[in-house]
Amino acid sequence: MSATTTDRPDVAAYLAAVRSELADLRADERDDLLAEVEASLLDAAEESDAPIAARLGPPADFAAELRSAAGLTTPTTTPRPRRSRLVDAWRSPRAKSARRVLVELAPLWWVARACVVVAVLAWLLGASWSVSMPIVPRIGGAGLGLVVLLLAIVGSVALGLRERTGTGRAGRVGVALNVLLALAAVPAVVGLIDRVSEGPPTVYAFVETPTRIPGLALDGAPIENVYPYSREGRLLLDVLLFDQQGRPINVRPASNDPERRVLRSNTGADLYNSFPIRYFESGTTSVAHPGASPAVRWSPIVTPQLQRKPER
Amino acid sequence: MDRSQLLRGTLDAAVLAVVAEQDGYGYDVLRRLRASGLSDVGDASVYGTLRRLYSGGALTSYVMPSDEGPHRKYYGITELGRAQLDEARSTWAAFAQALTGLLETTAEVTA
Repeated sequence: MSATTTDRPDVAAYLAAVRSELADLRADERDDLLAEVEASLLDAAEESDAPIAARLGPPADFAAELRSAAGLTTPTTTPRPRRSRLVDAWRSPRAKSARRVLVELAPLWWVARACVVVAVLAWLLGASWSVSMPIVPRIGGAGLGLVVLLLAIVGSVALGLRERTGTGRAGRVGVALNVLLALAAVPAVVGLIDRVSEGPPTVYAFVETPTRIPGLALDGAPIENVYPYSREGRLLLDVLLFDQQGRPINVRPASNDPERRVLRSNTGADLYNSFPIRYFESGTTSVAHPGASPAVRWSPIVTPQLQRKPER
Repeated sequence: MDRSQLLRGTLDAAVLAVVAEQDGYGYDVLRRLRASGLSDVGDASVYGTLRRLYSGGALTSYVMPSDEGPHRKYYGITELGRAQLDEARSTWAAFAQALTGLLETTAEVTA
């Protein structure tokens, strides 16, 4: 005989279904029972090629019959174990130590519930919240809100201490109130997180950062050329310009423009600060109109001319 | 008469009797029960009963290597099992006698 469930997938499936029906049994009990069933079902399967479920009926019925014949309790007749399991869990040493920790942490809850009460109050009053202390509502003002919050905390802690020392009992109403506050704590905490993450209101200042214009510019518009005039109204040519630090005011061509007339010093340096900038006629080294200039409005100057003092 | 109801009360005795006659593994016990005339005995009832009698100490079990496959778990009867079987025999004998008498009387009356 071959006799493994891998050779008979129908037996394996049937067994798995029976096993799940017996899920409530103790593991060792279930395993013993199913070991017997498995061997026997494989023996039976040897004798017939018919699907096992056809001969044995639904797995649930088979499991129920097995359970009843083996004298094992059915889950429907004994709902008690489930309850006692809960009670056992409640009485287990682990649960006891967990409860001790919770009792130690109770004062945290006393403070928290006071904050929740104040938050509910603020919500009812439609109050806004302090910006610097997001937990303090502006009831009247942030100052009064802080006072209300502190009073609530003192009151809540006093109540908690009274319950703890046994002079006052929480009672059902007290328990219900605590549960209610715990539920209200959820939106309160969410609101607090929102306010904290927002932080103080952001002031947006619009600072205009001027776009950098390469070369010379006047009020943001690029200057492509400079035309210096003498006080007599004569256009000066080949004037070299420097800034306040003595740096040449260079206007370099975007690309090396071969038609621009670039002055060259005796050291061989190109001078890009000479104005007005002139351009050669295409293909030559001559400037057709050296005196050309834009239309300049001109009125005679009446301010007396500065006199250069003789240099020492 | 509902045979399944009858079987329910008497399957312990039947299984003990089969095993007392000769040790056997689960499917073997089932086959011998059916061959004896209990053709409608349920597979699950027999395996469950074997398990319960074993747990209660009426049966013992041992593993026998098989030539053809994995080891088989055989059941044999214990002293406690024999005592239970003897008790079942006398109970059944008295019960059957009483019922036989009753049913035959009734048959004569109705005839």
